Amino acid sequence: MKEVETEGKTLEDALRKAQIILEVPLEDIEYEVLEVGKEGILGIGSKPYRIYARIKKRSEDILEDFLRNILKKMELNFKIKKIKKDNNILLSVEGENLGRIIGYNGKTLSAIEFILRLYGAKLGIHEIITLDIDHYRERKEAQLVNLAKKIARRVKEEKRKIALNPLPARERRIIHLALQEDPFVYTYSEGEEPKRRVIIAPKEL
Amino acid sequence: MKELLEYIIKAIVQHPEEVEVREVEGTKSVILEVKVAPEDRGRVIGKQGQTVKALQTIIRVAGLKKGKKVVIEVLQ
Repeated sequence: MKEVETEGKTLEDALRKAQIILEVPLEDIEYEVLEVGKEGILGIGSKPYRIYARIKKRSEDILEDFLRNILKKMELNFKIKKIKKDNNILLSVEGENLGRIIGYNGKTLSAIEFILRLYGAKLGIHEIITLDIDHYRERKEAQLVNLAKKIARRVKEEKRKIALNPLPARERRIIHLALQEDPFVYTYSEGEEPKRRVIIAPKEL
Repeated sequence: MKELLEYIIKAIVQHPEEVEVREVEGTKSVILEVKVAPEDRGRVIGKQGQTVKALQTIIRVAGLKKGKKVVIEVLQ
């Protein structure tokens, strides 16, 4: 991690110098004031501000380190790709034989994601954290979108509502989103967790 | 297994210095006894035991190689 000590007539001055050396925007710098300066009169008795500054670790890097340490302790070979977009941090793990950390129906994947989010919450990371392993979530989403479209076609043809099998909340959301602009059907959820299911119904035209 | 659990718990609690994990090995199972600061117990257990369930799921995968059932116990 890059770090530097700088001096300036004012705090802003010292920070500006640190910023030039560290080559990052001001919001990515954290600093400590080592010595509070004084302006003095006509330069007599003046003392510069001295600060110690370094590049702030970004939330996605902290999370990546945490995830990497966990997976290393599980003796896996992997790579982590991270994508930060708007209010989302996606950590995507790629490698060989990752099936066991995905688990049946993605259970282990969800457990690791849950722990990552807990850790993120403790650190005050406000972005939405998503974990993917071996593109499992991506594939699952594509499958669900296909399923939603297939059932929507049947609903339209048979002019009756059809209930899907129970799905967890995040998967129900994918179905709702996939059909939200469909002119012929609408969707809603019914029942109690963990048996809550999406209903696809024909719109009354 | 013990090391992994200890690492994760230390990361999510407020008082990592008070975290202790003890491994008790039986013939068919391994029990991981977790001791944390009293105010961190809720954090480790979670709403409706959600956190301890997630930890269990992760640790079980790590323990698969040993062929033993792994149980996490959060001590009082």
